[in-house]
Amino acid sequence: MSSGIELQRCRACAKTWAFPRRRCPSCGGEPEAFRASGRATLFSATVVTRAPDETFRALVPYRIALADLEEGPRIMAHLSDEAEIGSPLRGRMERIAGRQIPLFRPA
Amino acid sequence: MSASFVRAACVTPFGRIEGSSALSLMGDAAQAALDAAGMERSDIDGLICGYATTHPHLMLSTVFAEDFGIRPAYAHAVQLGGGTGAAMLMVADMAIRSGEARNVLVVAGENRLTGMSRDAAVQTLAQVGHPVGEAPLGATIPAYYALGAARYLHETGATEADLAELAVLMRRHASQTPGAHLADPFSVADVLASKPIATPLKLMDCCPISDGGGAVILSAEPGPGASLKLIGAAQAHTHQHLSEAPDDLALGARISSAKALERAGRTIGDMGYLAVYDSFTVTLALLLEALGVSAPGKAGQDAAGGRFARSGALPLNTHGGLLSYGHCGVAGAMAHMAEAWAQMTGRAGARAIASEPAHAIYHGDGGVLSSHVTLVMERVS
Repeated sequence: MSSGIELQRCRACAKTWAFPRRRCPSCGGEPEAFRASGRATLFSATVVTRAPDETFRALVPYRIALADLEEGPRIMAHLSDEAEIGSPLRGRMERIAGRQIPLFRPA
Repeated sequence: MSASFVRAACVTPFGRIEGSSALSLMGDAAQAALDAAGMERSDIDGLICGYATTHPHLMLSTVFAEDFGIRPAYAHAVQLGGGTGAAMLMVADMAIRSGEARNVLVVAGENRLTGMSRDAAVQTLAQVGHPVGEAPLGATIPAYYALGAARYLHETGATEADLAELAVLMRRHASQTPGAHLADPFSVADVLASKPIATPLKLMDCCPISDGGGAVILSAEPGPGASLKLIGAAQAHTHQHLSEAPDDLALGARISSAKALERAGRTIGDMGYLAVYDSFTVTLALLLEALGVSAPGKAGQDAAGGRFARSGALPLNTHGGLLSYGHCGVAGAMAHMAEAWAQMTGRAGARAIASEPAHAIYHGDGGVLSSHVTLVMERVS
């Protein structure tokens, strides 16, 4: 099953990244989109209790993480439960706060 | 070789300043700097200003020039987040050394506390996050720095109590600084017990949102009395968004400080006063360690041991920093410069540090450890 997490890869030099771009930030080549496996390692995580707006105030406390995807890029995501830095995660796009957000769980 | 000298560096009181505006705070700080330097409006031929989220404008420098009553030969605004204060001084120094200007007014101010709601301020600042990959997740500036803090504690073995020491130190300094936003001393236990914001950061690990202004006059002449000469400046920009930051989160600070010190022909060990950006306790820890001042994970313990106190070997942000003097945007980090100028030139009065250092280093950080600017200064008399 696909994670639904979209990444981009350069057709010319194979550099891989997450933020949508029109050209490769390494060589300027043309990107192609692909889906991440969802397998990742936890780089860091925080429990947010001071939300930026009403939508997220309803969700506090919630965890935000930096996840290192096995394809290379690091992405920001929500995290379901407490997990140790360096531990394996599995994630996919899920509906949170009315929008599609990558959500990771301890693997 | 021409050089530039800090003739005056002044800030307004920070905090809740009812009825203030970006322009009024910029003007108050600029007038104080002119008075301190013994200069007139007509002496100013260069103007560099910052930005104000409460007064977004295409041309803030000339809006200010007209309001304040100066007609500079060279003017523009600079936008580099928390690195703006130091970046403005770097470009002013370049203008002076190139001969384009002789007396440059560097000014910023913002009514960030009274000019917008707290939610609006949090949301405006959260836009430092990526519009697709970060901000829509409900992340905030404290959350971005909290992710850095959690990683920092994991990598170095430092504790939340170590970080708290930096907040305690800044508050102790602010308690003796007229005009500080937050001046009631607190303990490490108070910091640890304060309201959680984004773990591991609590309320007292975070700077307040303030109103305030700051201004510096940089000149081709040292002027009468003691002055500060800029002897090295450099920048480094490693990323904008935390998701694309290097694993070494403060790498930019390592690069810019090493380059600025090399240009100054000095080492970090030559520095006797530190003016270091401190939006959060972890910001200060990461930067002190990246600058080579403290060993990895040891910044908090250095603070606890008295190293950074007024009477210590290496006084740091003796006005109280962003954490306690306050943070009003661009001018927030200009207060570090104002304090460095006052301390290094014998103008700090009752707050004077015990030592008489010859050199100071000033480091600013914009975004999420994204943009770094380092200045190295030498006392001349």
